[in-house]
Amino acid sequence: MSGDRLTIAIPRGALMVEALDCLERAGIDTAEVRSNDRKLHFPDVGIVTVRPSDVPTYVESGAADLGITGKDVLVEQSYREFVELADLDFGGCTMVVASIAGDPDPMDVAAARLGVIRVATKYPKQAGAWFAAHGKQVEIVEVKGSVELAPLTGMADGIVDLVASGATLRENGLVARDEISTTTARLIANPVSHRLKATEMDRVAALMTRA
Amino acid sequence: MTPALNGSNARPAPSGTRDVLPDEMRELREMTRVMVDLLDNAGYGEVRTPTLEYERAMAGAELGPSAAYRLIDEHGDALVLRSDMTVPIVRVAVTRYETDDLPLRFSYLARAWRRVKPRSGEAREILQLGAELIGSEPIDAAAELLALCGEVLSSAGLADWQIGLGDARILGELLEASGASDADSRALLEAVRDQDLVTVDALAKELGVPQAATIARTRINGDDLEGFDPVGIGINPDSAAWSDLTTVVGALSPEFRTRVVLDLGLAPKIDYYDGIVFEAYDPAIGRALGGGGSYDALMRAFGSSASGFGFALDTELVHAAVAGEERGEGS
Repeated sequence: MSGDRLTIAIPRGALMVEALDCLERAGIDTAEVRSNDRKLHFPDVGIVTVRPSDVPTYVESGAADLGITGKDVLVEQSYREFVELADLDFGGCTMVVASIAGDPDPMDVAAARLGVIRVATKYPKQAGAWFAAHGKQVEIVEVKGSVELAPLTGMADGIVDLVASGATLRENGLVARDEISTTTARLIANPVSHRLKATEMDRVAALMTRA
Repeated sequence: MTPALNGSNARPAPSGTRDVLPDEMRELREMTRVMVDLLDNAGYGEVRTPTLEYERAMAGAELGPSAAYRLIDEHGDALVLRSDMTVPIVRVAVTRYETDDLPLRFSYLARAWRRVKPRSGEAREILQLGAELIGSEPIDAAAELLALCGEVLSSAGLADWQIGLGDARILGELLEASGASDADSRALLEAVRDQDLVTVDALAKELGVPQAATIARTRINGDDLEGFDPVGIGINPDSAAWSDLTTVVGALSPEFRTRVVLDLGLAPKIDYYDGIVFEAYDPAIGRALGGGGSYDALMRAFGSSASGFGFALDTELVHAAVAGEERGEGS
């Protein structure tokens, strides 16, 4: 946090290009970020590029004043302090419960015969809350990536994951059984910056959210 | 680094707690000594209360930060490790003093123990420095304690501290006047407290009170308050909350006003703050250094109709902010 210039944390990966488009709308030059995939820190234009799940960490600490990441990440890290400023209306995805295609659903079989469903996910909090709300006992298996592999190898009976088109599920012989929530990219702010740099933050946020 | 004396680090302090070694301790002690002296000289005598309190004596404690640790003594009485100093000081005030003694001014430098959210890195044990003013006229109390809090922050060596100032009643009054149901109002105020402005926008629209979302996002520099039109964002200028807030700002020194941001969406993190509420910031640190406000509801829970106003600062965060300013962060 220096002066009234803002530092913005941008998620590397699927949301990155549209996040940079948002910054362009706010008059921030993103050419160097777009052309340099390995560099992480762009102090001249006030941009840092981080993993989507690290965005709340950088914003909470004040290392970044603003950040862009998915609502799914924010829900999973609701213990962190940040101001959720705006829905940026891109990066739309659905959080689903999925299992190997066919009838009966392997999750129902596990629940009936073993009393507990093993669910692999990158989102233990949201997965646990949804199954608890539906009265189902689950054992959450936390993985960091390629969740689809878990039911194929027998490590889990089902998965909870974020899907955009559903193509990856189909490729791996999985089918969505329930929708948990929908998610889009959000703009978040450090609570102290939100007050001390209010004018500049409101100006930038208004330009970024103007569709 | 050379290995630890016992060759391993397998005997840690509990998570959220830590050891303070001589170099840091020297700095912390000097900083807090200056702050405590300032409060004492301002008429806020330092008090010490027991670390453990009877749970049954802590009326209204559910309004405070939730106590994380309870134990049972040899008589079967439940004791709690205090989670702040405001509730114990209110106990002292209402049990040890009489109405004729009002107003009462106290200060403290004391540890408190909090419940922490898993993985959040929050401190379980904090060393707080604070002041309480009980039985004074509420607006005078707010102006006096805001000024005092500023002096304390300056005395600690901070140059760039700022204050966020709000009033817990502004949004409440608006929602009440709108005829929104209690449940809807609570949901909206909870979203404000969670700083989830996306949900605030959606609920405000749904309840037909779009002004609530505008108010929750309004931050005004203290200097600009004079030219600000509250009606423009749906605030009744004659409401108690707005007139209290503007009177308090008017009572601050011009220099202090430049450091104030009126944040109409500032929601108290502690339930006993029921009126004017504030937080202290420094640009070198990404979170509030502490805060305060009026707590008449807590006084009522203890059976007193006197008003209460206080603030508390996390001394370790203040110390970190001093170090941050010295490194040139945030300027």
